Amino acid sequence: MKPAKVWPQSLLLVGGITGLAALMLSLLSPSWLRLGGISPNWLVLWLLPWSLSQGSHAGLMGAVFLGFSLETLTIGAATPLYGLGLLAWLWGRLRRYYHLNHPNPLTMATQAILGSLAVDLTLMVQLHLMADLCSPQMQFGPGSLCSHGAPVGWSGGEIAAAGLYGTMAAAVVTGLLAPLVSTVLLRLWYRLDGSHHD
Amino acid sequence: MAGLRKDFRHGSRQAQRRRVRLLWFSLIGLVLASLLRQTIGGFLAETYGILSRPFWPGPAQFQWVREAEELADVERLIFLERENQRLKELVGLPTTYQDNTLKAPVIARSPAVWWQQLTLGRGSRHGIRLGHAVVAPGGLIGRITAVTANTAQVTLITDPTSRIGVFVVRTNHHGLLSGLGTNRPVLRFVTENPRTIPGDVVVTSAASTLVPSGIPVGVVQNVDGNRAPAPEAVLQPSAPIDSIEWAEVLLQDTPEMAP
Repeated sequence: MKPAKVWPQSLLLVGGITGLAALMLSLLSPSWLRLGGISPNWLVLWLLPWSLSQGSHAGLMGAVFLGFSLETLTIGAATPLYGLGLLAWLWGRLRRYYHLNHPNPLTMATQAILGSLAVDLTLMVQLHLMADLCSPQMQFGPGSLCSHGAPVGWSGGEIAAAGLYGTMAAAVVTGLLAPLVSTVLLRLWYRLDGSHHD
Repeated sequence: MAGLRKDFRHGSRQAQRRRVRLLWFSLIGLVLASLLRQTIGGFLAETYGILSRPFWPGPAQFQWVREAEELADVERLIFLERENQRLKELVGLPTTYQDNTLKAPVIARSPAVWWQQLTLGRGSRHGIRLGHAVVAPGGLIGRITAVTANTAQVTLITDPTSRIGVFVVRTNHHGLLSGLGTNRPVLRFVTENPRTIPGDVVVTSAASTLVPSGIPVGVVQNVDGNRAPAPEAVLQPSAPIDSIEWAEVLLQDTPEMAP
């Protein structure tokens, strides 16, 4: 039987602290880290190096932890959990490849852009569906997909069109920060992990 | 002796003539001076203006005047508000918010493009309840939609889940303000011809059961008259939602909140 991987305590500690920092930055959204009023997708910036260095399982755990935390702190029925989970799984599968070759900053930026787009698009699809389903009936209640957090009075197309530019802008800002933030985190976790030789 | 007397008479006559001539010159000079007074005065004033420019009152003095004007405006506003309140009481209309407010710091903002929300650092322990309206310098920004003991979440007027009854002050036309997830909410009119133009001020409606009436919301930016079934207008919120550090919660129960 294959023994379960034991993570070094320092890795868990630093991973937890940086994950919490990513969550805090998402919520605080400091103006000096915004570009044209748009914040980067901090959770994607954290999840990318974590999944690439620790694999799918650890990535999924991180995605669930961060996605669920953000979901509980936000209003509305849409959740980033699905998008983050998908990304953690996909990036975790690339672990073997990148364990041998460090991803260059351009690769990190591209992955972050695609990741940010993926998370925001899953949110867009959720809001799109909810708007289309809830607008005609307007009946909120338990057990129904419609809730008080569902968009009202708009068609899904209108919601999607309104947020499309913001989604693209967030992806660009995330991509700009990825070579700095995600690359540093990736190198840090390789070092703490101790299993990778530079 | 006779010659001397003659010379003296001749001399005094000459002096008299000179005096008369001087008088005439003075009179003509005075008339000319009075005629050219405005021109000369203008020239002198301009010269004085140029020479005394370094000693003119500076921006500090101008600021004092501005501050005094602002103070006068505030005083007038207080007076008008009192008068408005008294008239509303006489007519029996619901009164707007006055004193029962709570200032709260903004501790979290929209974490991504798809959420338009704020989190305040005050909660139910401080008297905040679900449905309370939240304002900032400039006007309404949203309503409380979740509350814990020490925090409260505000759904902004720009959120797709937000709908608030408003009316245009100039035309007295009512409409429904809905967020779209962008920085500018959309005002959907109830009537087909709302006669609204860009620049019109929008306030919360007296018919609204969600928020107190008369709170400024924003200014109409553009109007799309071709939308069916009724025209729509894009609104520029009057409160700078992106840069708010402190907000004010109106601790006033609305009809919607009544059990």
